[in-house]
Amino acid sequence: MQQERTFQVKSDLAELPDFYLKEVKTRDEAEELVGQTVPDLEATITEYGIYRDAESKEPLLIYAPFVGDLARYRKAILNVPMSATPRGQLGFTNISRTFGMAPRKPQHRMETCRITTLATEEPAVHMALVDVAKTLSQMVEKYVPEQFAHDTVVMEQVEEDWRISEKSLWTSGVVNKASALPYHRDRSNFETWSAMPVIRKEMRGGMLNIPAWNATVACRDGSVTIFNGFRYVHGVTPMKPLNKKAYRYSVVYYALRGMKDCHTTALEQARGREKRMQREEDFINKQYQTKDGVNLLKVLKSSDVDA
Amino acid sequence: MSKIADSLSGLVVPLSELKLLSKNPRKGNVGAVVKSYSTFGQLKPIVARKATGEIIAGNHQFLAAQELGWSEIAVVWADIDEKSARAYAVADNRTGELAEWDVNALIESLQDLDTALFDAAGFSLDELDDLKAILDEQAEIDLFPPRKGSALPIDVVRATNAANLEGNPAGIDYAPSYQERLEKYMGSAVRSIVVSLPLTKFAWAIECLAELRKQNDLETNTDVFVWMLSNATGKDIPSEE
Repeated sequence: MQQERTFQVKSDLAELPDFYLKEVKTRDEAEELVGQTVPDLEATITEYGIYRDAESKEPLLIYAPFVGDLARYRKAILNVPMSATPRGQLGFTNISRTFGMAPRKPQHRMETCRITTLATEEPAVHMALVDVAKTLSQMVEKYVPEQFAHDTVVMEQVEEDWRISEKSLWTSGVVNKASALPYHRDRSNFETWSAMPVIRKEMRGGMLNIPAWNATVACRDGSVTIFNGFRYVHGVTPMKPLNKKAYRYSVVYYALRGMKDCHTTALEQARGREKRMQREEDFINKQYQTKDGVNLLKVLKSSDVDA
Repeated sequence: MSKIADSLSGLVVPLSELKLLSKNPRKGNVGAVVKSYSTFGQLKPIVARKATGEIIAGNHQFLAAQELGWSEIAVVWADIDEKSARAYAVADNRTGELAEWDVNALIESLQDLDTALFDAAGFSLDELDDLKAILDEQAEIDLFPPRKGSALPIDVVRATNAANLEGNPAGIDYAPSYQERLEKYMGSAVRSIVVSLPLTKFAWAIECLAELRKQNDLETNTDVFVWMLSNATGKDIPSEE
């Protein structure tokens, strides 16, 4: 077991061969597919490797085996309490759970950047998910060093406090359960690469399709797919369980653009206090205000004085 | 052309001398046998009833041989009556069905095979992955039990994360106990005072605090509280260091 843990060193990652993909759809053409269900497709990417643009030789995608203790990771994922999240624009409800860091959402009374609730609800599970981010970053560094350099610079916009783990390329993550997501782009992210380990058992389908290259990644159990989900439209093929125990989970590690506005933890906490104070005042004012805008507290106070 | 092991040569007969078992209760996967025969050839004979030529074990092997264009196959002749023949045909399938795989050993047998041998063994990569997933699930991994409602501030999570990466194998001990968290809080530079009030007094207090903040150019309610204490007691506010 100890040996497994010391795995997390760049030089221990297996060498991967290069493969080449031809662009078959422009970004605009691919964009037209957004919102559509992905058809049932055969895998075109089954071999682990670094997939590059046939013309420019630019790296497009890494498909690699998971590095580390997969059994522990699987156990963590299977123990994530899931919730149903409507994905409004796609007209789709996703069974998922976020982890890592989350930005402010004032419309939901979340006034500060914060760690997601999974960290407190299931700390061991959260830790197991977060642990993996470091190894995934190392995969990007080893296999596509120029992309790593680019993404590292982009991530300098985010305070270290709000990375999913130290020196990670990502701020946040989501565990998706058997989600045949329609075509979409990860518009809330920075334009950096996201990493997607998959675990599955006795579930067929559930492959990642990227129409711009007519690429369908097999997403085997214990595989990791890393690519630019902000730039390229992608979706997941339909799934077919072989029995009731079948499952397929994808875990996506991504860099949320909203996190660049987060201050240090201490400042965020101060900001939170201030916002809470404001909210309490607003609450009281609203509670004692009539429909005509009269503040009953003030009326009450002036009548006291009169008395 | 038939591909039959040399040691079976004395058992070889033309396919035309055999017939399929009528009302065979077993529906096999001929394609899988075709793959196996293509790769390994016939390494064990099928069994047929001597009196009728009816196959009682190996009907799908016979069909695979036909599909591969073989003209002959190795057969062991069984001199048994019809009832026994039917019983044997069932037993031949049922005994295999009652067996179980040693999943560990099976994975070991499969995972180093080249593609052709792997295919011939009758498993797909997906099925191999399924087997590995089952093994993973059986592994005793002590992700320690959930702690509902235990609030871990970010720095605690970070510190434990670092400890975890430095050699705590399964991350079992990373989460601080209640006592540890209490001690951390007691040792921290900031403490909390909580004031509970009935709603009307709460509303009044909020309004007063807002007024005092505005009048005295104070930023937070905490500042007002400290300022009031200082005014009421005449004591200086201690510096934060």
